[in-house]
Amino acid sequence: MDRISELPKDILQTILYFLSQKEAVQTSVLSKSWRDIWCTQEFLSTIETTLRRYCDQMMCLEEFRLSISVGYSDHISVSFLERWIPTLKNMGVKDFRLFVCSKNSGKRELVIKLPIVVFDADSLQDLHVEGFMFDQQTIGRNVVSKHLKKLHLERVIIDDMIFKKIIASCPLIETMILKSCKALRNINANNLLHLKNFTFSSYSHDDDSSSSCIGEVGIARRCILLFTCFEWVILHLSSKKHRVHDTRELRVSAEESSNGERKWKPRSIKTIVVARFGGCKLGDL
Amino acid sequence: MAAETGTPTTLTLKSNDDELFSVAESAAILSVTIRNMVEDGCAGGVIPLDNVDGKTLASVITYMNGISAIPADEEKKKSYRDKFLSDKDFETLADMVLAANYLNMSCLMDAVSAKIAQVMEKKSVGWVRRKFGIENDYTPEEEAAVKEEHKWTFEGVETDDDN
Repeated sequence: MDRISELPKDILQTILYFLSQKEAVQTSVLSKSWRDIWCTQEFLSTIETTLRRYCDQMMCLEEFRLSISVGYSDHISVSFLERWIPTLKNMGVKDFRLFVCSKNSGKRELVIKLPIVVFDADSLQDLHVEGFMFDQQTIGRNVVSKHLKKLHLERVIIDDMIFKKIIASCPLIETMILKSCKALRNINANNLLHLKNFTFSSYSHDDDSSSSCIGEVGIARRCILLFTCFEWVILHLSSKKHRVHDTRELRVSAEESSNGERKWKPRSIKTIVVARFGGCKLGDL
Repeated sequence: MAAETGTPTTLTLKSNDDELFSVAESAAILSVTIRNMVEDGCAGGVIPLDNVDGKTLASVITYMNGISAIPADEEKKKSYRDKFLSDKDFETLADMVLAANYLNMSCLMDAVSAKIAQVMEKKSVGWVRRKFGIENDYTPEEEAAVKEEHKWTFEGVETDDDN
């Protein structure tokens, strides 16, 4: 065996601790003996030790970025989040960025509920969620993360009500990315006065058609819009205050789909500077 | 420290290939393993260090002397560590990290680990395999499965044709 792979597991884990979490997890591909060296439990306990040290020595932690994958009934990761997310504020964290991804991303995926503690983070600036279900519990709690600037939801199941609640609680959102979100029909972003970039994509090949059907999208603010859809959508770009240059760029493209008609019905578009419509049939303006 | 005012105590360390080294106790006790031996009163004669060879021990002692000569200034200590490790090849670093682990010297352990991590930083899996001579014992299917499991970590690294 080569020299580095021969090193004891705890030493290798110390080495991985100095890499970003992404890079540490990537080492699982090196060879079989590396597969679990990074392992979540050990890795989280390393992060935990560091955080605890900061806490004990009352050191101020200003920025905290965490990428974490959560599996089905993954108590270790969930309890880690539940322990530390509420604590971050007291530690002085002002800029918290969280990327949370469900571990079963295969075809026969089990739907994993998003740990509800995520929205308890007061200092959350950037939230990227992939492959989860937002359930009623999520909305049962108050959304504390009102400083959120970037919201990225991908392959999530989220209904209109829960989405509305999140949006209503996070008025500072500047960038919103919604990709392949199921059950979401109406997106009303009219109260997002800071929205600058909005990317929406319902594009998804293997899902049932209902999942990609979007009803209405409302945006009140000047922003860059990038849309990739099939099915049809009514787009409200209603802004009375900003009459010119409200929407700086609108790019709409419809992907090939075997079923369903691709139709666009943009309404009240007065102020688009650049518009590109590709492969879709426009409805009445 | 009180010890510095009197005659400095010297310890004798013995490597596993029977080399003997003299080192000031104040420097040697950076190693928790050695400190425990001193505190337990086992340091009267020669301290045998069965897991460290002479070449590595000489290097560790250089580090012990160097770092303990620097007053409590974390910046200066850090730059000493960086300089100390700058010309070490991977074989030497691997010996050092094992020695630091055995001697329980967390500052050296962390510094060497960080140095090794630096080599792997921002490198592709293939590059790391070649650099360290790691044999890929996965079948292509197994490797694809592991990659799929941690798909998110490869975003922006390789442009796989994901389905």
